[in-house]
Amino acid sequence: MLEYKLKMDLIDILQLLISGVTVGGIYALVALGFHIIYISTRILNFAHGVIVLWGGLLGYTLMVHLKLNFFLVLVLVLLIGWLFGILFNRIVIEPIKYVSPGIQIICLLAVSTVFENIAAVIWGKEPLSFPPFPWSKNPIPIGKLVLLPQSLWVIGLTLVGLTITQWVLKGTMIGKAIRATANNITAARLMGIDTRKTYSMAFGIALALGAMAGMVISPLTFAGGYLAIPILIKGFTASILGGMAAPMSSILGGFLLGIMESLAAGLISTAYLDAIIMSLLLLILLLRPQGLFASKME
Amino acid sequence: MSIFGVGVFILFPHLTSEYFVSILTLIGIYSIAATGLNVLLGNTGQISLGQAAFYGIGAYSSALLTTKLSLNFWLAMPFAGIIAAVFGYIVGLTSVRLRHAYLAMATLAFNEIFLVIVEQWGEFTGGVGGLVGIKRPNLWGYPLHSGASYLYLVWFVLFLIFFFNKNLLRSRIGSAISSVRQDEVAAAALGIKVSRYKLKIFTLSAFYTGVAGSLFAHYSRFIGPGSFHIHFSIVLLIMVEIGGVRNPFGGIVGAAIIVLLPELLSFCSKLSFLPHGIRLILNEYSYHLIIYGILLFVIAVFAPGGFVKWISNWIGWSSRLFMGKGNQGWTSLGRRD
Amino acid sequence: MKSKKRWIGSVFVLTLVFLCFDSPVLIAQETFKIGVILSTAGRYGPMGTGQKLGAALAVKKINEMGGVNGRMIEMIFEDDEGDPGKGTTAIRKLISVEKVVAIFGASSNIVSHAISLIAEDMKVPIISPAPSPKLTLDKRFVFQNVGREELLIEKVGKYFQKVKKWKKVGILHDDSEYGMDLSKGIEEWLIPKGFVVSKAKFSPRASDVSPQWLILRKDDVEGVFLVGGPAMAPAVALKNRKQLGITIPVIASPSLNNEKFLELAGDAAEGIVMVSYFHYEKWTPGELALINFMKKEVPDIFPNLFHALGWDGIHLFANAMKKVGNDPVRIRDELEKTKKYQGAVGEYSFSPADHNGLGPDTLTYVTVKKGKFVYIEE
Repeated sequence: MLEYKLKMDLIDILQLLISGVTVGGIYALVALGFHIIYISTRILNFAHGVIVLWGGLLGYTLMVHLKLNFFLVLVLVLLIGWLFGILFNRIVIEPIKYVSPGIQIICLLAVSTVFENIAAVIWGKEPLSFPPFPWSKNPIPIGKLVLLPQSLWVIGLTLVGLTITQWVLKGTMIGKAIRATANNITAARLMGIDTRKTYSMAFGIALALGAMAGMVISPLTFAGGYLAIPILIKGFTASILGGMAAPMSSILGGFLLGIMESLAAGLISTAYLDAIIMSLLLLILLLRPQGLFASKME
Repeated sequence: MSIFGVGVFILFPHLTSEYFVSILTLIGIYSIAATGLNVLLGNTGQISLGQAAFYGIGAYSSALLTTKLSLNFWLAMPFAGIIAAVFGYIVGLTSVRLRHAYLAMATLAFNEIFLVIVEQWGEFTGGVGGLVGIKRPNLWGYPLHSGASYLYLVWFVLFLIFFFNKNLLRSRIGSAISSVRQDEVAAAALGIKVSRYKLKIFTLSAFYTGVAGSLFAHYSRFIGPGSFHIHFSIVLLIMVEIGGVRNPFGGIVGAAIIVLLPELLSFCSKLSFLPHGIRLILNEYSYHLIIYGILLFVIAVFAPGGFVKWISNWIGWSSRLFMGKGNQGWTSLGRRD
Repeated sequence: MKSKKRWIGSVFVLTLVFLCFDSPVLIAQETFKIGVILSTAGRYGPMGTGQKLGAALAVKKINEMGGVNGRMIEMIFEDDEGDPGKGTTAIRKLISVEKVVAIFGASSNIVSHAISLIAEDMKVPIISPAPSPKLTLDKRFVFQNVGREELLIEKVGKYFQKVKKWKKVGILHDDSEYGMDLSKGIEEWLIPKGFVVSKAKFSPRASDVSPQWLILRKDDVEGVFLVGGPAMAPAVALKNRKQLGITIPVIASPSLNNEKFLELAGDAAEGIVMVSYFHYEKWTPGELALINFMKKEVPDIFPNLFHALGWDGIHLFANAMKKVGNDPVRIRDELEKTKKYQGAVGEYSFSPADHNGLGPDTLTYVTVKKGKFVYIEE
């Protein structure tokens, strides 16, 4: 252990951090969506990965087939994600609300599979090349480092997502209603809060964020593919790492996961990367299940 | 009646095609694995996304014991189950602190780690390319090479496990488990050591799944890590849910449906009187998955007892229909004791 | 309502009973039946879909030209869903129920292994498009129509050694069986010849391959061999290379020789070299036969290796059937006599000892110019 010399110099490590933060931003958005749903409904949305997929594909259709303006597409994807969230609550969540958690998980996985394959039927089984965002064609060199404009988009939109979420939950009436329902659903109902609305709103926001995440990662990679379960695993890992209790801890968990993946690949081993990350997940689950950034167990 | 049943069972594989024998064999193997999961899910309500790893541990253990150490299959198979059970115990330890989704994630992490180890430890396990050269077992010098002979083996093991399981649940252990499932807090208050029973369940569940893995390895005579991904864990969950979660037949029924449904769809897709569009849909794997997912959801919501309930009702109804009102014996088939 | 459900249940059971028993054998076999087992969804989806199309087109062409000695050939397709269990059921169904006399499949190594064992037992010849090195070992009925991995390794190794005269090279591979096998194979070829090899692995679902490039750059490699399964992650890898401003030359595996890869990689693929089965400007007659037919039948789809594999598989069987008819064992015997057959993949010469049949001339080097593959002279 003492013999270990860093494989890379500082510049390369910084570069690793940059790419780690980029991917981490996507994980952060997914984890944030998880958090919102969990905090409002106590449900862990095992179908969350599939909305990320759909976000990218919807964005693709709007940008490539309908050739709409980018900002319009972004807004539309958010809106459609929000609508999906409301529908998702009505059609999927409500019937399984009172079922045992184990069965809930199975149902959500089934829904994820269904929508993943519907996407494959509509857009084809192969991934699609997504056009770059505005001002993103060329990397920005900073000395010897390279910064991608897309990374700035990811970080920017993640922070925007975080800000909006915080504002909704703390600042608006519906946000207060969501938090009240989360706290004690019976009391909330007694106070006249329409819990169906709060659930819908929570899913709406979460799925909108997920859809946006899908669109934001696509220019770096591609749109589509059978990635619902891998995205779910990454998002969930990020949530557990950071902690599901607060929006901020979820986001930090996402960035942390991205950075750790990047650093572990670059500095330790690319062959055992998945095993390393999963072992870390197990450790956190066993030793600090509330997450690294949360102060108490929810 | 039962002698007739046994007679049919013995003759049947020789009357039918190798294809159907292979289907029944797969159903048998998957049933054992699904029963393993059902033991866990049905008795503790906990989800495991790592069953594929136990299946794989059983498969690789049995394969390596017989090919590299030349151990006799009849020893290797139970050994494989025991090795899987040891890992089941280890994973089960996490269940002391974790529940539901968190436990599911822990089992998933275990599955992923297992896969990486298999893939990287190539000299030992054959790596990503897989392990070749696994042989069918010999029974008193007679190799179980034909489809029918291996089918008997699989279903024999399945019956053993089934009856062992059923009796287990009737005993004191069974009632303890039952009370744990219903209310952990109350059970603990009554002095039942909840964690100890959960641990035992995990171990047993892994044992059954490992045995299934061993049977699979010797059936296919070739195994690769691709068969033991999360995908298979999810398929097992679907089997148990569709079949009927707390029912001892649940694993068998679920496995049967998951194996038979694509065959049925494929058969229908070749019927020439159906319109071309429908036939295309029936043949596409993507559409199959959509159908399964919807089916699962519908069952979970509207018929939580799973197909077992339907089947026992159907058997009761049809036996009344065909054999007159007197014959009520089969209707108790699906009911839990 | 309840009784309606029960009648539906009865129909279901009766259909199952029907499935059990062998379909009645027709008095005269009207067509030559070839079973095809491939994956059209999931990880091997793009390969299987291409192979299936290639096979179907071959069947169409042969039948349009009058079939085999006047009788039509028929392709019976089963999807193995990437699952060896399903694959073994499918092959048993094809052989014992549908009575096919030859099998083409499967897309993945793992299913190919599983079904090859059964084809060998049931004495039905099988041609597999999967490149697994151990597949045809000690088997009398199993053939492969894609080049052996040794050929690819030689081609890449020679490129490093003779063409470029490099000493320090990198291998950037994914953890698919293809990627793992090839990376190990090429490493074993290079090291005894004095090369310094640096390896980095990425996941087939990777969204970022930058760390791997940084490792390779740090190790000062002069060139990189990029090996990967479906197009996605390797395309991301090339994009990352471009973004990081890395200019280390790349030679890629033939698995990436398709339009989808070029589409996903965009201009990041410009200038890379690739080992390819297709000869582009110097099309071989076998390739032209496929390309022209595809232009006619499916003008929107550009031919790739997978189409060629399916196309050749059917043609190889049909040629054998022309000489010996419908008996699986005799078809196998005739296949082994194939000499210098110009297929779309390459020139095949089988023998009882060689069930792989493709020689070193099958592969060539191409490069990517302006988003298209271009042939380069050796």
